[in-house]
Amino acid sequence: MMRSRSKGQWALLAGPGASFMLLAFVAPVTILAASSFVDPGKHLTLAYYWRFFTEPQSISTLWNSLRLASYTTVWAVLLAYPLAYAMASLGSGWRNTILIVTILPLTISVVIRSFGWQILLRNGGPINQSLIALGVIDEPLRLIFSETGVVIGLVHVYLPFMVLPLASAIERIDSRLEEAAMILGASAFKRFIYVVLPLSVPGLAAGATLVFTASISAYVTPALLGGEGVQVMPTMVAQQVLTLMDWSFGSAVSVILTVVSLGVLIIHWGTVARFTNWSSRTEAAKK
Amino acid sequence: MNTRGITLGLDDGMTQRFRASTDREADLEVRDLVKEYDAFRALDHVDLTVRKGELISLLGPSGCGKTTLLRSIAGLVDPSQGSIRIKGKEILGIAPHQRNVGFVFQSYALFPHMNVRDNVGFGLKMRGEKRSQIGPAVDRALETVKMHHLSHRYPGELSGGQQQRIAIARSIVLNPTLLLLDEPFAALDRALRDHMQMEVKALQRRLGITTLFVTHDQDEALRISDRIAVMNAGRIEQIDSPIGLYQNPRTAFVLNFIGKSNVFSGKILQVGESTTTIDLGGHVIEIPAPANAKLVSGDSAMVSVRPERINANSSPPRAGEMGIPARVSDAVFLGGMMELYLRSGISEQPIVISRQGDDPSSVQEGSEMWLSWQPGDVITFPAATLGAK
Repeated sequence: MMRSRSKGQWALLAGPGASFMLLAFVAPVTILAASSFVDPGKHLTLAYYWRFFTEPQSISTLWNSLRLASYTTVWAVLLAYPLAYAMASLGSGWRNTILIVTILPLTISVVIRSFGWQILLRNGGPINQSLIALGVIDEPLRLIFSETGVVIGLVHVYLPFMVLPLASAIERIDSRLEEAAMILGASAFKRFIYVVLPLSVPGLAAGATLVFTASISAYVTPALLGGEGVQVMPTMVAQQVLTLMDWSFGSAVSVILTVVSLGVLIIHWGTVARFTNWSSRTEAAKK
Repeated sequence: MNTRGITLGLDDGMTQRFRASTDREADLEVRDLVKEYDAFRALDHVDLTVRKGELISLLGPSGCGKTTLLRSIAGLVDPSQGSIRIKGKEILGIAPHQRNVGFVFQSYALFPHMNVRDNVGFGLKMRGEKRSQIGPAVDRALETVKMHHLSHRYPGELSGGQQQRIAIARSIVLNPTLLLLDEPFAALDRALRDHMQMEVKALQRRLGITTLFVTHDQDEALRISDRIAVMNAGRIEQIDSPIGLYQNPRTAFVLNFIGKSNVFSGKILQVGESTTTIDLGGHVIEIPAPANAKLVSGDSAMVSVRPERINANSSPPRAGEMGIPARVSDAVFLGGMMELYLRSGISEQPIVISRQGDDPSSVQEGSEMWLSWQPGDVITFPAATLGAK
């Protein structure tokens, strides 16, 4: 639907924001990409990419990033669904309470939260102490400076970005669809599987995109909670550029990270489009 | 016409129960049903019996409890007290899908992400039927509603009328004892609505499926129902055939809700053996007595006559005949009939008269006419019941 303004007027309205976003994205990426193909002697080269893909440590860093971002996304989905479902189904009082609990951590800097997690997760910290006191474990779990710690930290940071789109998608589902399914014999579990889940796919897709891209490019959380032991792509870039002053290799790593996350997104959206085929057909029929 | 309303000294529900037990077997019996939301009583001791194969409308203004009653029967609302039986078996406390009722929502509530076949087959799938059995059953249901050719469309690709047929097919494929429809025609435009009403009625007759149908539209209720239950403020005011309700409303609410009527207030002069006389603004009229309400001489009474039952003569009455003088204020052409609006000393509101096949230009605005009617066409209530409305 087009409101009563010409395309030119809309372009004028959208112009400033769009060009800011585009400039701030295109300029550094162009500079980065360019410098990744140039060696210190100003010659064009593919040596930095060759180095990345032949160095076992680099490859394992890429896998670390993909794995941690995937774990984070999966855990965020698992934690967000019940939250979002409750938010969409409860009255506005409870809804707002859940909303505040979910959003409140966003007001605190990721750096501060990461130090908070360091205190909670360390060997002598409250989580390990209580687990030992309860007799669940004998030795403290390695929760910090490990992948577990990074995933815990990332889920905590990015969960709101999963909950909010999911809740808004579930809220848009007509409650009578669930009633209809109930009368037709669907149990609560089947109503979720056959009605709520497929109809919330757009929200799920939006949330998963946000969480995956944000966590694969996160720097602070892996640096503070992963430590030396957990190398990911952003920490590798920082190390190359800040510590080793190797701008060209750092740029190549950045470009690879960008391309890989774009690739994952394209596969992701392709899958989602297949699941929401009905939606595009419905939209087309309205025209 | 008031001879049909035999007063047995029973309340509506008990009269209904008495009648039901003498008729065909009952598919649905609602007894003393109450639903309270905090301080609000949505259902106030409702009794209702629906016989096998019958189509009954629950008719009333919004907030009268008709949808709450329907949803209670379907199991979407838990009543506070009372009993609901389907084929003699108590269903309160039983899960919705075990009640064997079909429910068609006002918005149809088709699953937008499933095509027509999957929507219609959903109930069978949930029952764990085999694929080989679901297919033919879905085909039969789609043929019943003449939608077989669109079986691979998504609901969003269908018109309102087509969606409604799919919603009905999705219900009847499970062979429900009872089909419940919640304002099923409200979302359709006028022409389509008339068509779908007749189609649903024909389908209901053909399948012989016992049907309960909620509407706020009296025309719709009159068009398709075997009987109508008129609801008001959580109660069923009266249950009767459309013509029974029109000719014999038992309460002022039913009178006003079903069809147009002219209402005058008068004073009861004398309650006699065979006739009662009432003073209507200086004109003494007679009605058959006792009427359907307890009239006491000296009390105020509410007197009503339907528009098509009033005669308007352009010449004054002869001695001894009825003739209330009135002046024409408007004449409205309505296609097959016309309506005359007249001012008279017996009421503050204009009096409406409808005439078949007349030409409005034959009536002069401002001309004087004399109104009369047959005593049997008068509907009378004690004035107190009017106040209670």
